[in-house]
Amino acid sequence: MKAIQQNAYGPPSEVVTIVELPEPEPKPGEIVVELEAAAMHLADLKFINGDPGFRTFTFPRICGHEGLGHVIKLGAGVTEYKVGDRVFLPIGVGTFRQRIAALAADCPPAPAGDAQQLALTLINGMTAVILVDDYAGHVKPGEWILQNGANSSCGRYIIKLAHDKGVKTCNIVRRESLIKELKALDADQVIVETGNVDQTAELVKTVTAGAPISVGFDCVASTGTETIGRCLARDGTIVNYGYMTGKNCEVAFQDLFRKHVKLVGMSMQSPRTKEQRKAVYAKLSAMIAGGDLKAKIAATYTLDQIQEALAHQARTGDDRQGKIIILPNG
Amino acid sequence: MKVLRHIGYGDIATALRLDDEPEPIPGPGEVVIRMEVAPLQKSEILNLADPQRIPPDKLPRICGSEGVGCVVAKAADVTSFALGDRVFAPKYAGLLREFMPAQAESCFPAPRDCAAEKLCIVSTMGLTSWLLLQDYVQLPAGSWIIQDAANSSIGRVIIGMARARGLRTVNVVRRTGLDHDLKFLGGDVVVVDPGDPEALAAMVTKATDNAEIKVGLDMIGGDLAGRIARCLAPGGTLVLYGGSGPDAARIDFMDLHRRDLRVTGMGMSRSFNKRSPAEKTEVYHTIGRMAAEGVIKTNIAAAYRLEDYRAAFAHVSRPDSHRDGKVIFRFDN
Repeated sequence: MKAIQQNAYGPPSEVVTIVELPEPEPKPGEIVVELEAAAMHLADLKFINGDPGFRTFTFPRICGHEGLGHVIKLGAGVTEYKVGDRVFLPIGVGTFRQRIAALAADCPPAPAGDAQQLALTLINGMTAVILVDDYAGHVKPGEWILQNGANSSCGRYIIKLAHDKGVKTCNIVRRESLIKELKALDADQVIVETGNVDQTAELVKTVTAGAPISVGFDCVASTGTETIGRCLARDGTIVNYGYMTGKNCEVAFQDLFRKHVKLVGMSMQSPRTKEQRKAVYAKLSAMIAGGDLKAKIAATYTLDQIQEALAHQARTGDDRQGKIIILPNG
Repeated sequence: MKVLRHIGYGDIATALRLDDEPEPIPGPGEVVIRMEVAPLQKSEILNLADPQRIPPDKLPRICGSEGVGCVVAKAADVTSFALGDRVFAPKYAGLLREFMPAQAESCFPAPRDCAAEKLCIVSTMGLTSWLLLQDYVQLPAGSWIIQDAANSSIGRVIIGMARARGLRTVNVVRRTGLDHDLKFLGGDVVVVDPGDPEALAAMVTKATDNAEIKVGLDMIGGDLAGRIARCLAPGGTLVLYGGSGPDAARIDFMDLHRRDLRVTGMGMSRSFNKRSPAEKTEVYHTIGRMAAEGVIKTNIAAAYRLEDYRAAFAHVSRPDSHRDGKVIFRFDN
């Protein structure tokens, strides 16, 4: 069976190869899953390049952080699933491969529905839930939250999850063309980043009619972080969960000292128990399967096309147009 | 009595004027303080040059933002102070004058058993340091904290106070040769900033034998704030307390996200004003004792009489004049 293997840190064309691995056999408690779809994230590229903070592996390793498929073999003692059931694989097991053995107890059940969309449940979906339910859990219906990078799949989930709670979203994007698209997803306000912190903050103030905003999500870093801080009300919190610019998060003195704005990193170490996480996955995956949460898929690639897929992932904005999905079995 | 007024913008000779006027008489609720000492802050110099800081409609104004003196007169309704009591005068009230009328409730009792100049650091540096450690460093004795600008006047005050609270300090400085000095003040570890986050973190890890550092105090911002953040343990807090320039703090996403760091700013007035009058008095009492007993101290670079204000302002204008300590006015000589 085929798998995508990384042999060192470096340019994808030099360090990533397609390899032939023996077929997995289930140990007691394990299931063998045949992959239907696996999501590619920007982090996958960073792990391959060995960017700072992403040099955590020993080699060789199999790429891919999340995915789903159906059970084709059961190990001794497995009662959770039967052959043919659809499951999510645990995060980080190496999902760019055709088949994999995993502990049945670690695999959350997956619903029927579009596998490409569902492949984004565990990482982007869970991030959106943590941001909206935990970090903005105090925000009441009718109040605003703010986010940049709003066109990301996580950003789109945030719009919908907030809308369902009656919370209004003010969304900062880089391109005019996205305004219509995000408003169609129930975004309350969408504004285009001006390139100037104060001007963007002024726009936010205008479209939200000066309503106090207590929390803002930042996945851009650099002055993106500063812009969120400038827009927040006194004692507001910037929650950072990404750094699309590749730069450090900036927070200005005037916001820290005059408005007592705080900057925190979003923690994936969620306070949820394993059971609670499973409940969130169930709710999220049902929403995704039902089309309530919808990501934009830019393209799908097979394992043989991994280099094209990685090259596509390396592009941004208009040149990428959404998520890359790997279809390990075509 | 003599009063030093800021009357315009420009150089010391034209922007300042020394007036002579009658001594004040206390109004209802007021005391009159005969000033003993008042430090001259760098901000006073900046005020002379920049109408943005103090707009023209606020002029003329009396200079001086902190100081200590003795109560020499009081209204009949004032019971909180007796004649002869030493007090910290209200901050930012215009204190470069021989006699200062002030609401008794805005004054705080000061220790009598020490030279007045020892108390010059209480109401700004002392208060900032104390509130930082009280409100942002809720750690048990024996815990480590890390600070930058450790050789600044306030950095030195923080070292003394942290030691008094049983905290251990990693002190990041810009140049070598400070080890002995800062350890003498009570610092545990002194590290010269290598300018690189990983290198600094490695040095701190080694020097503290891999201690868990939950709180970092940053006065500078910029990339240095990010380097201090790199040294913090998961769940740690970086507190910025000094930034007043146009710069921002730049923090690595990885530090925020993977280690759940939190970055916050500390404003002294806000921390102070949320306290009750009794708590405020207690805060001043505690810091006053520390200054009187030498737990916290600062060098006095020079003391001037109010008449010699031009020399005093010229002294503070010198580049890096703060390195030698504070320039103060002494009223009783």
